[in-house]
Amino acid sequence: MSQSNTTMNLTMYRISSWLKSPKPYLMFIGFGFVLSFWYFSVEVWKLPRFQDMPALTEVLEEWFSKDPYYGLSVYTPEYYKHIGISLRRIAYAFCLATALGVPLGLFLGWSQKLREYIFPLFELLRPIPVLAWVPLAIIMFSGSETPVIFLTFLASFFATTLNTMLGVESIDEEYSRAAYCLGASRWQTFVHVVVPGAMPYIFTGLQISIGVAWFSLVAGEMVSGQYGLGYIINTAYIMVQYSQIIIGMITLGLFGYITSALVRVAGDYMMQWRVRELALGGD
Amino acid sequence: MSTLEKNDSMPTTGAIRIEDVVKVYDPDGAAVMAVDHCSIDIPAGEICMIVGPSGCGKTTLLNTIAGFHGLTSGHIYLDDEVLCGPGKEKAEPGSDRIVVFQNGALFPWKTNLDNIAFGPMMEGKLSKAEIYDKARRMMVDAGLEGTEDSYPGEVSSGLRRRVEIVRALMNEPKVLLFDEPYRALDSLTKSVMHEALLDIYYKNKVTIFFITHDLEEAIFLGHRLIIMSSRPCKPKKIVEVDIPHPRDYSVLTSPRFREIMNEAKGVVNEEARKAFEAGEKEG
Amino acid sequence: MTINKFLSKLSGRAALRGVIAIVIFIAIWEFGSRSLDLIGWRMPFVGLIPPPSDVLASWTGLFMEPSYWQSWYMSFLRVFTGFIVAMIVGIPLGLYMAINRTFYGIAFPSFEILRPIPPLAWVPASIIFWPTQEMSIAFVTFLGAFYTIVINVLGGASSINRQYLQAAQSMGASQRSLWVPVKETSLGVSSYLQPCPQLWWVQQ
Repeated sequence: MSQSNTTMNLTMYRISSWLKSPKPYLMFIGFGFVLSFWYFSVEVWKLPRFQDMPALTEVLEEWFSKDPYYGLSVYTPEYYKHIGISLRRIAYAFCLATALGVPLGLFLGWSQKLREYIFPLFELLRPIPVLAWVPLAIIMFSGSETPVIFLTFLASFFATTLNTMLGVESIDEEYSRAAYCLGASRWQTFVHVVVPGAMPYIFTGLQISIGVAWFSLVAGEMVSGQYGLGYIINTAYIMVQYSQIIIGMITLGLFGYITSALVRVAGDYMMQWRVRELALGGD
Repeated sequence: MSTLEKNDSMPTTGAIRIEDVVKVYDPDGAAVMAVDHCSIDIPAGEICMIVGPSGCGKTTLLNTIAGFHGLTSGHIYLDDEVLCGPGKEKAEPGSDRIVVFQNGALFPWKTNLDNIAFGPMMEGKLSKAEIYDKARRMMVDAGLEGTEDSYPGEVSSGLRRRVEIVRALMNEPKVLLFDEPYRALDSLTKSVMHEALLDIYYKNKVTIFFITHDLEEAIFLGHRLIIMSSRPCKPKKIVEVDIPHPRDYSVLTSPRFREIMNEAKGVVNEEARKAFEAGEKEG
Repeated sequence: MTINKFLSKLSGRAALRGVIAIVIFIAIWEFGSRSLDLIGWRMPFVGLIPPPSDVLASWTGLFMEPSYWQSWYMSFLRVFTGFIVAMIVGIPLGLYMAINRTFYGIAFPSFEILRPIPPLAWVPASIIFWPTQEMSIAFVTFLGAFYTIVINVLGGASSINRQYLQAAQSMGASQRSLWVPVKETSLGVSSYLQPCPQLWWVQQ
């Protein structure tokens, strides 16, 4: 298909021009700064507060050792088990939140009447911090998995719905007017104008939503979970295995970034028109 | 009326009669009259140019004909049928009166071809194959061959305007409503667009209601100029353009063109100065 | 004029609809949580939680306790401190990244890598590092607001029309005074405050 060809070409072009620019080198310089600051402050200069922190070498050793002292490294299956469980929870919560939040957001943005009924209630519930729901979640749902997934779902759901609704409201009125002129009914306008028009905003919302999902997941896992990355971090702290804390944090950062990038890529794929428009206009 | 050659295959439908229309806005209790007892008679197939200073209410009039909002009093008739009047203050937008918007309302998420096919697809009267066939033919006719599978964001703004006009014509409307469509184009592109519009008009005779600031554009395109007063808008002077159709750019330097220009210019400038002093925002 | 508008909005149809939905919500909650007593069948999920009337009763009791207000005050302080520090650090950082391309190239990728780590994951590290509990709480709050502030500043600063900057430069402004467009960056401050309350809650 000629469409995917052009996108492929554009992506390759952008990657190669990025490689030729100073950007990759600056990036590594930046990483270098951060890592060396960590290394020096903890191990070499032994700055007052820093010296109690786990050291870079210690963490790296532990993370990549075949027989880790505390039990978690890239070679142990437990590590991947915890990652897998966290990812699974995120998947359930995020997918459910998207499946419920996007349609709700679309309808809230589209129908004035619905918005007047539901939005105030929504805005009352939304600011309640996720963790405040923990006790209720434990009471309401049996088992140990469901409360955690529920909490993650909740945060994700509010973010998705809100952003979708705002997206619909941001669509230029002229598009729906044009549709009506051309003979489209209200429902047809909703499907052909509102839904595609809101897509860019929906995907921005989804990126926020997945960030929020990880946030809540860690909170939930720290408090009431039995497995998962949040659980690792919490346990490592309790059992004074500080290098594990860092391993957990880095893994979280890595997978948080990957999942967010996946959402972004999915968005780019679904919105070919925008990718091409931006490629020609921007940069 | 002598400018319209009655025996020159003029359409029989599409006559607009605006009768004593008043439109009053009521923002925050301070009534603002946008249209003041306006009466205009537009025969079928005429290119009627509405010229006036910024903010005088011309767009309001257009929006009322299109059905985007209602009038306060008066009648508007389309072919002797009431579009809107007392008891039915707001007309329904429909494909017999299609608007071409100032900033362009081509759907960025559909290809040019899909945009053009949109109207008939929504109405569902013809089969998909017939619609796309007709769409392709019309694109070739308008000189748009080759841009079918591009997105609006990828092509020039002049081309986008032409696609939008073809999109409007697909539904075979009785009236085309233009709201300063060429305002954002540079003057070179503008003159090309003018000839393109006339070309399309000669092949598809419709009534055209065209709002513009540009006197040259108005005289070049129109059968008649209706010069509006500053807000609230009311026809101040009607100028007949008796230069015969078909026209091309050589018309611009003809002596008759100069004469008409002189006739109109004084009035236009006077109204523009009034609007400037009143601090009107462009609308 | 605006007060009148506000008051008329409160009594308008939209407000009425919003109130109806909230009332229905509370009614379902009340009925559902008492469902076992009322109709002999426990409603799923809702049937297990305390009813709003009980909540209201204990809350009014709580109002009287000074410790309630004290904890409220302490939490507020922590959120506020974290937020202010996040602004002090984040806004200049964001602006500098927006202005200086080299600095952006160095700092932003590291920033982006650290950003997905949920602030809660920093809690243990924060407790180890900071001498007092107050500071460790404020640090976590700071993190929550910091990322959002920097991203928004970057977004705001980059959307300033290049022509304004060029006009300023041609009129002799030095690089420094270009930092003035902070007003462009004060978008949606409320969104920064959102993550903060989430975080101090953990620490409690």
